[in-house]
Amino acid sequence: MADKVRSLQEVVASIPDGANLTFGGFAAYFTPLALVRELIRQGKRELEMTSVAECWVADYLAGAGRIRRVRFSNFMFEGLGRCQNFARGVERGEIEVEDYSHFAITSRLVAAGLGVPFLPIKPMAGTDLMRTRGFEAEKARPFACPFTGEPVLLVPAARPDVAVLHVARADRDGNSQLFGYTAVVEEQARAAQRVIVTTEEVVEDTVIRAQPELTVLPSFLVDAVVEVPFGAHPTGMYRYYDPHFEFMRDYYAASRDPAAFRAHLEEWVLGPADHWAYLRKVGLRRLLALRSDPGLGIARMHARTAT
Amino acid sequence: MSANRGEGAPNGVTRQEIMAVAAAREIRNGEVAFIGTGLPMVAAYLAKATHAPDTVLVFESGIVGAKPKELATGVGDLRLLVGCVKSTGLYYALSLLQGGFIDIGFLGAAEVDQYGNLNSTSIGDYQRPTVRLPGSGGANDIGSLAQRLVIMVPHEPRRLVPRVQYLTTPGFLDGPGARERAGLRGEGPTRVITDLAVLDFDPASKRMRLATVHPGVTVEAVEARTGFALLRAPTIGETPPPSAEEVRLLRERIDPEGIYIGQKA
Amino acid sequence: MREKIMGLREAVALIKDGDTVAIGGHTLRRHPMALIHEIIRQGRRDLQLQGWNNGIDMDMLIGAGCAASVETSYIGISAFGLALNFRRACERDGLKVIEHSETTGLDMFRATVMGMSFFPTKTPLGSDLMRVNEHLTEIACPFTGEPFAAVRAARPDVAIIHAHTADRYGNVQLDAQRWNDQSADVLIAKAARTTVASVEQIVSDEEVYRNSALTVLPRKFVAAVVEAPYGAHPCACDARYDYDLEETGKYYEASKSKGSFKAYLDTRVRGVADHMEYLERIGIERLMRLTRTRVAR
Repeated sequence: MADKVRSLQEVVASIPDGANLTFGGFAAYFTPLALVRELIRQGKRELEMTSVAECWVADYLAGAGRIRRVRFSNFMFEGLGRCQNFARGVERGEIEVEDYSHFAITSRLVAAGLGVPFLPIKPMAGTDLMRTRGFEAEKARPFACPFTGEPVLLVPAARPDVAVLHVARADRDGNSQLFGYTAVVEEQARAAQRVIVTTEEVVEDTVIRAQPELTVLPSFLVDAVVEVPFGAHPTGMYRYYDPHFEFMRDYYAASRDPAAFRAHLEEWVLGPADHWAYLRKVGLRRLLALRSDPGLGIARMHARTAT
Repeated sequence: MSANRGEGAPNGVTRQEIMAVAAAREIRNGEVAFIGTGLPMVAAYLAKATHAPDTVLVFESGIVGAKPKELATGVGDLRLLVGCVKSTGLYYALSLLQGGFIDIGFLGAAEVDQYGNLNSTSIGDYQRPTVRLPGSGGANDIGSLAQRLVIMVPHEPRRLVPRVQYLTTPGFLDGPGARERAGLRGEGPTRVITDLAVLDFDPASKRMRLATVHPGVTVEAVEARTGFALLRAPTIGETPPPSAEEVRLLRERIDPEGIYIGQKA
Repeated sequence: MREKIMGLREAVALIKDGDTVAIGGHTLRRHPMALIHEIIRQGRRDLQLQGWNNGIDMDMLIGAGCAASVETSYIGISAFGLALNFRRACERDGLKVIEHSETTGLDMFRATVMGMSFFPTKTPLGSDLMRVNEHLTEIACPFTGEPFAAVRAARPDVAIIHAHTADRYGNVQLDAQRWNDQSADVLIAKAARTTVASVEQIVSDEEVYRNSALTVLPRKFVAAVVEAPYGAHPCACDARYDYDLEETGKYYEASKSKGSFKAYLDTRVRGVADHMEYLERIGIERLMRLTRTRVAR
């Protein structure tokens, strides 16, 4: 069994400027933000994203001026509003975009994971997602089914350089588990050339084998494992901690103004030397208050208990 | 939110409450419904609590058969996981659409045009937009593939426009036969529910028409708030008002803080 | 149902100067350290401490000047050696000690829980424990004439324990590993007039229904529950987190003199506002390293 455990600094150093990255996480949950903060600290730039709904990654990187272009389907802060940094970057012409539907962009990842050059899909036909084009050489091609003549679209396989995925627990070899929904994690891992897993906790492989039904990534898909407790903060992690909504509201307020966001980055990303310094700054009092309830999987205070 | 409260509606019922109730009534018991954030969530919970208890709620994050105790902030909210029957991935959830398993979907948008096409991508030039919106997400997939689509928007001239600036999600595209030619599935949009009226689509032209006005709202007021020439259904009735029980459920159980339905009367 | 969630301050205020206070835990495992720190911060005095097997918990209270007497079978700092505050207090300050074996140390609580004024046992017979412990006396079995030691029932004013979880009503649970309703802490808690339980986490009603067999103390036995994550630190908390040997070593070194121990208390206990500030000083990195599993089970 290989030992793939690495430090955050080490794995981020292995990501070149200009890399095409895909990130785990959905809405306000299980987003690999410890790694994203380290990307910003190490000055990575000109990044490309192949994304579905990794709003927190996109908005952090956009706010730090580190992304060049993005193919994606939706960036939206549920409960807060549209992603201000990202939207500003696009409106100012600093970030090139190519829009997809969720199913279309995910199908491109699925095709890569299946090792086929394209997949036929039904949505997107007839809309500006087909007509209005961004930077993509080939986005989707109308096609008639060779058997029935039914119109479909062919979407080409998309193969990001690196997938960065935050999971609940992994063993040292990279077998990785998630509780709750999995969003696009499995498709991203199979599509990418290289997979970096950040995990709440590294566990013995016996823990993995005791509940194999939770495994989303078998070890052969995974190249590196980084242990980062609270590594999704301020997003939440099912069965570990809730999203830190108070922190998110402060972030969102700052993101409305470039100078205020610069100050936020200085304070919370560039200032702390590493992930531990970041967590110290957030503070145990606040982190422990977010802990999940074992019976609910989310924090007790956020669940209305049956009366 | 309190601005809309009670204006033109009986007994202090908010327009959001009327919208939620009208949307809930679109769901038939036992259907599989694809649900987004906001009023659709309120409507789906109400349907389950009243005439359609066997409705199966599916969320794009990969949550199937949710039985939530309280309102979620969005489709990814972990509160939806508590008590659901299956937690899986986004690709699985959206494959249910393409596979034809989803009976009804609900969408909002920044713009809706007379053919029920939706824009949730950008305002202005695509490359240098005036306003960059969140993007399709699952909206295009739902509009392309759900058996029936219900659209929910505030009734404003800048939202109900002759033609969307960016066509993110297909309604009837440019008219009869267009969905079929593009290879899309499902009936397309069947209802548009606004804070003033319920609209549907003329079977022949596939253009939007006024079906019912909410209590206290005139046909002329609706037309004045619409950015294109609205067709009229042969008879325009009044949207049935929410029952006392529906209002009680909305206010006491589903959205007690009035996040989506406005302030309590 | 009455909710019993309290903060540390409020819960410790239930303890009065001079009270008999029984302490849960076992040598370096799961002592209610967050509660003990708060007792020291509040400056309780003349406490009569009881337990069955103790360590840093009693030693710290003794070193802080909170204790008038101790009644237990053992006070030591595990592999580090003798409990130095305890030793100094015995040797120089005349601390009153009531000596037990582990068995009789439990039997005194067991007697009360069973509604008896004494409990018959064998272990101390023939030892000096019979001579020095006023709560032990020899009796003869009325049927066979066989000799037994009678252990006098203990009825503490307050019991303080640290458990894994509780609900808001005070139903206290221990994780499934090894623990059950015959655990020492359960006897100690049931024997007391007032029981204060700190827990790693206050959990939902659903969680307690789901795992009702883990409830070792039904709410009627519990006056207050206090949420104190890492509330046993630097002791181990069963399968949840390990001993903090670094901190225990620091404690042991400091306890070598009254002066250095006072400085330790000033930094670690008296000089921090509350339990969370204490944890912040220990540091999240070290706490995460001690943690065995973080997933909410």
